[in-house]
Amino acid sequence: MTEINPKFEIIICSLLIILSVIVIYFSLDIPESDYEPLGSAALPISLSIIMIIFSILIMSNSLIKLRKERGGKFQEINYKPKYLNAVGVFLSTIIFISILENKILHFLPTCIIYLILVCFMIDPKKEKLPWFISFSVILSFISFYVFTKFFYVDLT
Amino acid sequence: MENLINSLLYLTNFWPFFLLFFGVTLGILVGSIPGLTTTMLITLTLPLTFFMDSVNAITLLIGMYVGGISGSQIAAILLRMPGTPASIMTTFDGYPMAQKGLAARALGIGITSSFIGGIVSWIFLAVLSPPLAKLALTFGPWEYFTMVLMALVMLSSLTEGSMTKALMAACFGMMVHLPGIDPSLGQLRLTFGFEALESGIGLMPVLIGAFAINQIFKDIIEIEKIPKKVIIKKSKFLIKLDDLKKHYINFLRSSIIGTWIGLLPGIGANIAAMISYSITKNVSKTPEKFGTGHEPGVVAAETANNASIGGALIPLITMGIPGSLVEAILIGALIIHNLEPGPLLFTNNPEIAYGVISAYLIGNIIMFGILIFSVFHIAKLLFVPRVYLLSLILLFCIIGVYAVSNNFFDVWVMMFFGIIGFLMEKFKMPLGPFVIGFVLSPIAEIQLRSGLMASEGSLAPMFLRPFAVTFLIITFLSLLWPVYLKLKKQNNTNK
Repeated sequence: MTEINPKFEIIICSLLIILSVIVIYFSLDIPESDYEPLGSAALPISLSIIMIIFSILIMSNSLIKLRKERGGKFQEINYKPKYLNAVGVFLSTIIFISILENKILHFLPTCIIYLILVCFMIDPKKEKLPWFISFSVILSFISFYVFTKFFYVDLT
Repeated sequence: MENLINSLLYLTNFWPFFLLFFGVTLGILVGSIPGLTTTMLITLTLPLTFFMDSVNAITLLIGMYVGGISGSQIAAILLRMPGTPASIMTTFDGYPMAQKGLAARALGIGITSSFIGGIVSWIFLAVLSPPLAKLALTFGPWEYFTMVLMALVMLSSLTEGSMTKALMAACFGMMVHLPGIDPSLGQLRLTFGFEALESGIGLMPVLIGAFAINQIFKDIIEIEKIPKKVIIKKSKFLIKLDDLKKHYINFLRSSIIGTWIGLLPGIGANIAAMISYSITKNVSKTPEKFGTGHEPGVVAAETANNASIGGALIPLITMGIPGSLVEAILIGALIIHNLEPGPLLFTNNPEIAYGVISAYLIGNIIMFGILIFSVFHIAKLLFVPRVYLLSLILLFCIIGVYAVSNNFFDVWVMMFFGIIGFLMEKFKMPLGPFVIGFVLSPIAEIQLRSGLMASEGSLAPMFLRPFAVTFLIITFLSLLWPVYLKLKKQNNTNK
């Protein structure tokens, strides 16, 4: 089983504490109810407090771990992770959704280009490009037809 | 009895049988594709049923419901992407089994469990519905609140890894559900000035983001780690009598749990599967095997989620109370056809009440037949190169989430929760309690606040009502369970 880097744990816990504080801050603005004992702010505040307690608990454990295992190796992996490919697919997806939302291009050409890009980024082999193009064209047309004709989804 | 037999005979006619068959098939196909849900299918079919005979319409919808819940196990087992929330627990052991080359076995077990769960809950539906519904209706807000608490704590305590992180995940899930309209007072809260948050954060984008999008990006990162081929041994697919003997207690227990949980309004197939899985793990002699590709885990989850449909149909046809979103849509279908859901349905429109009961039975038989004969074709999904499958699922997730509300905000929410899910898994914060916390948050809040309003702010009724106090004791024991296990392990090591 791989260990988590304590620094990563501390960062995540800090983010959760910040989120909880924000929730508490905004919950304090919620007006109290005259006839209901709990009110709308009770659950957000209670949950945030629990989150802060748990985050502090984990953070303190991580700090102890960090002191004990300074300079240690925490993540052992036996494959080559493709982080850049994933980031590429993620960014393409963001651009694809933005184009569709702002109606810059029609669904079909956008989808074809997007799918070719995604396929190529997942498996970057030039010899497979004709397959990716064929797949993207067929899938785009099928998706467009099925979703617009059978499910009445607006994909213009 | 006569009404039931007449209803069953009616369904053997061409049109009703064809519609049921079509509904189950479509349900399986849609349920098996992550991003497309049974709820979406039934919602989109609802306007079409307006032109149909009432019995045929309800038959078609019941078929879709049964097919959708059963079909969702395919993606859960083969891709670790539950087609619907009902199969979240199936991923825990089904996917590891597929990874070990036991995909056919996992599917065989899952299909048989779904069928058995469906049949057992049908018996409850047909025979015991009135008394069971009466008992469940005696539950007040304190029982519901303590039951939700019990569900969350049980799930967190039995999840692999740190219990603190599991409880944190459950709290985080509950927090995510907070923005929008407060369910009790109707006032806005935590919208941070965003208009889009006023209607809250939907389950679908959160679920698809945390499970599917996260999984897609994890698969892309680990594309070299993913096995290229999974060996599917057909000989292990069909379940033998020995297997039935081996799992019979689990089948029976999970069916009863599923039916019972389904019966309770607001708690659906996902919770039924979760509670059944937790209890099965709890009573098992080898709890450490759960989550690593252990057959009883698949049996417990799949039996209970299908059984919960039968249970959920009981208050629907006897009281007109929806157990979940799908049942609420089914009530909408009855209203469209000028029918009054509730106790009067048995008196005024027995063909509808018994039509639901019969369609559920025959739908389960059809589902079993279709899956037994076609699952190997669907299992070929694993042999499709990952690049095509991942692109296809990614596209279906985007269009599927957009299709539910025709709103791009949900698509952005899905992408956001894809990142959150990815980070949570890196942090070893389990996704199960997060999603369950998200689903149960409104129920817990509404019930707690209703209870406090009724008792004028006193918590005493929670400790005085027998069911509520029982649930609280189980919650407390669940909290102590990991501590007990740890002490036991330490003692064994010392020896």
